[in-house]
Amino acid sequence: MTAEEAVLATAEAIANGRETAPGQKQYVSFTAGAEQYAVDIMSVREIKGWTEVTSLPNQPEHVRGVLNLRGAVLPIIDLQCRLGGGLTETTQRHVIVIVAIEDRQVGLLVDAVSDILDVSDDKIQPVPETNSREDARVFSGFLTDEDQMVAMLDLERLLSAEILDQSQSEDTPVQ
Amino acid sequence: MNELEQFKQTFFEECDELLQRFEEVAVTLVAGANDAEVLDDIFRTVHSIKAGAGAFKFQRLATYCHEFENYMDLVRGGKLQLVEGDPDLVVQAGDILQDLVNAARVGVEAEAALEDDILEILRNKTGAPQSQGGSDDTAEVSAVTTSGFSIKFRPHRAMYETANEPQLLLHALASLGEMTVSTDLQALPDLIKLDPLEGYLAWSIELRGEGIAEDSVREVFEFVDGDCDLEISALDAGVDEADSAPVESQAAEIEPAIVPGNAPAADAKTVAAATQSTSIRVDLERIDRLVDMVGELVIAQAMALDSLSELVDIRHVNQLQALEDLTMRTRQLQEGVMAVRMQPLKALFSRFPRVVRDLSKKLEKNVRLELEGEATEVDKTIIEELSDPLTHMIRNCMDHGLETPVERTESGKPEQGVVKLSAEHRNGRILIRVADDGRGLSLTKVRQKAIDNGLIDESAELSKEEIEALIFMPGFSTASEISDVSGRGVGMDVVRRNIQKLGGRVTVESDEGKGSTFTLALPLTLAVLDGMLISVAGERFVVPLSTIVETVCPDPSAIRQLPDGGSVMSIRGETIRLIDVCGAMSIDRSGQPEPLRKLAVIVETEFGRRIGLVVDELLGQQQVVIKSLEANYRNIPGVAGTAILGDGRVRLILDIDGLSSMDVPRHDAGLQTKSPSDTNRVASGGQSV
Amino acid sequence: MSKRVLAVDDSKTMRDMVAFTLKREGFDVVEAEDGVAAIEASTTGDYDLVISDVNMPRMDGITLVGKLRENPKFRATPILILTTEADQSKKAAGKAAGATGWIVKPFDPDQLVNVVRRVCR
Repeated sequence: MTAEEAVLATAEAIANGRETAPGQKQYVSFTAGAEQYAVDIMSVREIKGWTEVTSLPNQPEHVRGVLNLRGAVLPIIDLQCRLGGGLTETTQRHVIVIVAIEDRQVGLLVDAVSDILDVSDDKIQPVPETNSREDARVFSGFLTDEDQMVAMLDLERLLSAEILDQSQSEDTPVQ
Repeated sequence: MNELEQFKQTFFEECDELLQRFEEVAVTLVAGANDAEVLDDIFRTVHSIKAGAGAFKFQRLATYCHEFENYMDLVRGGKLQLVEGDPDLVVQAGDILQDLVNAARVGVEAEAALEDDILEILRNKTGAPQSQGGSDDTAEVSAVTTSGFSIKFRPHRAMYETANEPQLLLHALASLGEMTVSTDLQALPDLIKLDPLEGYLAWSIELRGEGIAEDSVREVFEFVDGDCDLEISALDAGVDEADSAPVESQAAEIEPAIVPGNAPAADAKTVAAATQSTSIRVDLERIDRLVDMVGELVIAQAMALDSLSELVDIRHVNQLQALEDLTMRTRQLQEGVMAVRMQPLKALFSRFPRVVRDLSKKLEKNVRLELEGEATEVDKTIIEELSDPLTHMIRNCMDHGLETPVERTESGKPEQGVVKLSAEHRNGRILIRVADDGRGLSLTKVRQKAIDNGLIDESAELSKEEIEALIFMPGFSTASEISDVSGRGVGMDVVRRNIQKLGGRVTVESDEGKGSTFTLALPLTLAVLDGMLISVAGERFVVPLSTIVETVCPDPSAIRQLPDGGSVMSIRGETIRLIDVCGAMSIDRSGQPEPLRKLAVIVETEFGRRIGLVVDELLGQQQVVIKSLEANYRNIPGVAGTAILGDGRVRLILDIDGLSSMDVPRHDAGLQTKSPSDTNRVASGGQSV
Repeated sequence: MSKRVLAVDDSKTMRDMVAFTLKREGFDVVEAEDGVAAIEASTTGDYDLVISDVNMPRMDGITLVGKLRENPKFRATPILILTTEADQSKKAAGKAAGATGWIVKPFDPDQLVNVVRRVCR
């Protein structure tokens, strides 16, 4: 799906949102690296094509920089990099999924938007406890769709480190 | 209910205004005779809050206001004189009033028994009963009759003179039960003798119905009591029976024959509503939205200008003229909108007489506060944010700056110390000064303390300004010695940080033995900034114009590398530290040619210390709309905010003070920084403080 | 044509509440923030009812009532004063000055409408 198609599909899906069957939710799925991810469509505000961002000094590598979205300055997170992969080699075909969380807006850099999924809650498998990696907590569950495995992103956890947790921003000077 | 909430909001806004006025005038109270207007003001504040509190059922607040109001009423009526201690009592009562209002506002119960002591004192003074009587709003339930009332009603002339209308009263009665009325026309004279202002008619009324309270009947005639003959008697059983027989009462057509005064009645022509007050209350959010939109307009306008700049050609002179016109008007519009947010500092300054008064008692110092420039206007947000820092600074002056009366007398100063709070506009910034004529900073003591607290090295050679600036360093005042007075656990470093957050700077100038002056320099508004656009390795940044002293192109021989990787340069005999923007902003210069000769933009930090920013190129001045980085992300050291430029791109605004104090790079565990070595090298150089 | 009410109170909260309550009942409401403003309003407009607070800066409600009554235009216009609690002296003073009646604050909307209906057609 191109960014434009994705926008249309998302808009349509949001417009039709009420028609979802009870117990079902809609998700926007996308690819980053070789993996499939999905977020609740209600948290998606906008999807736009990749444009050059303004980088920020001394930030974690996955914070690609900031972008002007109609007057608001949003951070752009490289999803693949955030999840332990390398930096995304951006092209014009890459896509930024803008999500809202706790009155903040953040852009997720992904390879492409794949689909709008209607998913009933019981189809989502919990994350196995055995996984000791801290990063696993950024997933709220997995959806096995045909022979694909889609990881459902827990945006709060995904973004907590830089975006939501303001305690870190108080830079207490070091003696 | 939505409206109710809205009224509540209006009410609380009004409370704020009233209480602020209260504060202003209450401190001027003295024992003995007082200005009637002041007493009236105070009375009215309490009175108005009481009315609202009653309407919104803030019972505790209403009860409190009631007692307070009674007291003030006696005082303003001259029935009670203010004696020694009473002015403080009023001020204190005002504080509690504020607390109760605050509690009501957030919907919590105020501290238990908060107002009890003061209520008891007030009641003692007014001679009101000590019992917690509550408000006497309990209407007694009157006897209820089963059958109804017989009413005889004969209005006097006076009743008509107050524009009471028998017909309406009868209508009101009719709403209570079933009514039969007969009109008594006996007193009506011949037409020729009829005085249109006199009342001639009388009515006999029988009102029947289950459970009509006599009080509700009396209530109908409440306003005309004394202006009419009125007999109300219960219909007893006997009458009840009699009633079943046909009585010669007819459902009278009530047509009050005489309308006194012949009023130019109802069909008033709509005349333009008169006397609207000259100010309106606007939700701050709406103004902010407007400010935002104008900000967008400025950006869009700049973008348009940018993209049309290639039109510079004689053929398009008219278009360019039009564009220039648009630019100018956009700027005017922006200024106009900004002006809406501007408020005089008076609202803020007026709190301090109170602070000084209370504190001088506590410290047993004799202090006079002088205010100047209260009319100076500043952005509302800034005013709000200034309250705490200024309070702290004033407390600090009084606690540490001013000497005790004995010490002052000994050193030949007048016993009364002076704290002066002043404000003025200068160069598009606002300067606020807090000055005292106290002991000033002792350079040796400050220096020693900084050494003791590990802030500077014993061998550090510091100028007077640098030593003075030490008091703003985090860790200078340690928690243990922060007194109860200037304390609350904050030191001047917090003041500095708060001011910095507003894009301002705070400096101190002191003359040992003569006093100190703290100066806050603040932007007039938080929304726009005059910036200098610079470029480094292809990246662009904005440097706040107000920090720039000059730009030089240093001769390589004037630059010395320091062993730790930093560098300094000498300019007119002064050695200043250089900060490589490229390194500090962790820009990857690979693939970007080094410029033949770099520029040093000399900027002044809030300490008044100068540093040189090493950049490739200056691109020109530009007014930018400031966008917070924190709104969607977080603060970054060395970055004051962001701006959206004409090309739509976000640019970082450099934080000069942040850059100069990035002495140790942050090592956040788990966060990979792109090039920590760069920052390390840049930041550690030459930082002695 | 709806009736016009002049609501006089230095408290915006009170004015708002009076205005809101009466507008809902179909009245037109013009607001004035004190006696002086009300006098100004009275010279330029006609009203079917005046509701005024007592304690106000510049000109209090009692004085206002007296002044309005002196004006032939307002001789037969009902004027209600807003008093707090059962302050008999204010009621009496208001009556003496020519007030038609009073509304005891804190009023509730029903009470206000009731009283207004009692004095205004």
